[in-house]
Amino acid sequence: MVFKIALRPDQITDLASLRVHKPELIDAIIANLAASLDPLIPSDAKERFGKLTQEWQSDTKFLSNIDEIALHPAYQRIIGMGPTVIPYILEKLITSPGYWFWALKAITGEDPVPAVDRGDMVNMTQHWLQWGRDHGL
Amino acid sequence: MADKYWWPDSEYIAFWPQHIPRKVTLECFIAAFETLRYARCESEEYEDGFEKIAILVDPYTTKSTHVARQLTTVQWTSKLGQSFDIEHDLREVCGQIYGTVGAVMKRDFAQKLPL
Repeated sequence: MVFKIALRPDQITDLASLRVHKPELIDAIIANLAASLDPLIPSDAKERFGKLTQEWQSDTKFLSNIDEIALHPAYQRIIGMGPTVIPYILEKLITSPGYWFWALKAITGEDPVPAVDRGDMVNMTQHWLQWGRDHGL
Repeated sequence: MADKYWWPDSEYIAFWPQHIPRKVTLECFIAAFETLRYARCESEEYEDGFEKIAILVDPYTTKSTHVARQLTTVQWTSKLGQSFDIEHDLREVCGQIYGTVGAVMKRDFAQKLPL
């Protein structure tokens, strides 16, 4: 990713000097600048997942309609984060089970739950955790 | 029924009786509960020997939103979404989130099907 920043000549000199003496500081400035300029690129996927999860769970905690729960914008953005979040979701299945199965199906394109276990939250969780183990997660 | 989450979702995540259309309509919910030997009744008043449920609907879309189960003469129980179970007066869950009572159904305790 390329960033163009307008600097005064004296600022360029200062920056060059800073780069020589404090390279890690320059790297941190660039990383923070990247994160602030484009919110779609998470500097920490897990943190982003956590914030979206919190928003989703807060807004849907009283809903029973699974379609409405899964179509919440925050939940859809979690799905949009792709395979990166699969380990985080599997962790959530253990610590705070919820309606994560829709997201797992959408991201993986798979469904390890046999028809006989549909709706059985305990067994569905076990099927997906086994799926995770089978895929090294 | 207590072991499985019932809901006619479009992704086939939850359980739903196979021959009942997978639609969030009051008619489909009534049909689903009829498979558990519930029958529609007029009154939500407690009756000895009977177990009652109330299906709540959105008054504007008439879509089913929630099901509560009667415990005693005044108390009902509901599972709040992904959260905990609560006990309440039936009218306490009516309103903005769950809507109004669309139908009340009952079954004889002796008719209760094994899970």
